[in-house]
Amino acid sequence: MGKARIRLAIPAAGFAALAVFFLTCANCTERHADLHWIVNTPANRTRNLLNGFLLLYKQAPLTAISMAGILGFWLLPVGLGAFRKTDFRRAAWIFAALFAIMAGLVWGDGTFHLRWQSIPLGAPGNSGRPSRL
Amino acid sequence: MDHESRVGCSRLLTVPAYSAFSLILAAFRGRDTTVAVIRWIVLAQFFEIAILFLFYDRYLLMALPFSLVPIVIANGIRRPVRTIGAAAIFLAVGMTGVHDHLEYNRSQWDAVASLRSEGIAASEIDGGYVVNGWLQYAHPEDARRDARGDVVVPRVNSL
Repeated sequence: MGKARIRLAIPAAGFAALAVFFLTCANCTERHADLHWIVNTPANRTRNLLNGFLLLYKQAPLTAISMAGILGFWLLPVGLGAFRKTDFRRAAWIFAALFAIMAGLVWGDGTFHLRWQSIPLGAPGNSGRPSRL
Repeated sequence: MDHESRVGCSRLLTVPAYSAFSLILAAFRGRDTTVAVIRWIVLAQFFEIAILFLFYDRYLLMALPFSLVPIVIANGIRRPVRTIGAAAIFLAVGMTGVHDHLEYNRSQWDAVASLRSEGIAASEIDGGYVVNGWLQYAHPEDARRDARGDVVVPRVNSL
């Protein structure tokens, strides 16, 4: 088998394993609950997909600083061991941009506190039974 | 540690976290095919997180492996002692946290078992999101109902 086929086979095997898991995972669940009332279930998120697109201009900066804060923390060991001085100027610009975004969100229009549940748009499936959260 | 101290610690950690993330992003450069593919994957994950509002740290785990590959390809681990040392600190803190969490969980369910053995109904126990979620929400026959007949589970679908 050539290299190209092996490269294709590895992700294909991953997808096949995932498909098998999804087909059999119903047997692994001890009890199925009605998730209608849980606000942030995958089903409710999907139902509210329109919100995600309409509010992308607000969510994108929030996502950027979330990823920077959380992934950056986790990546500290690699960052400490792998940085090069030649990267510093480029990294300094990125750092300044991230801080500017955070400052804009903290002292801006309150987007920093925006949460999925608080958005009134969309969610036609939820309209009859609003969440109590 | 009280809430104010935790907030203060997280603010202090912002600078090193942003610095590390900036250094990682600075390595997302060049015309290497692998880096180009990973750049698109991370961009797709960024939009997935933004559109589906996936802001809890566990959701960002999916971007972790793809984020560290470009810098390792571009620079390699030039100072392995620092990386191993920092990783060891992370491991120690992580293991301590997991141990604490498991102990907390065990104590909580021991308390629930003790109450149940005294004949107290599940609907009378308020053990937080996990306990209430399992005992009452996942088993609605044991939960309280409101006037409309809907389940009312504290900390899950009511305050």
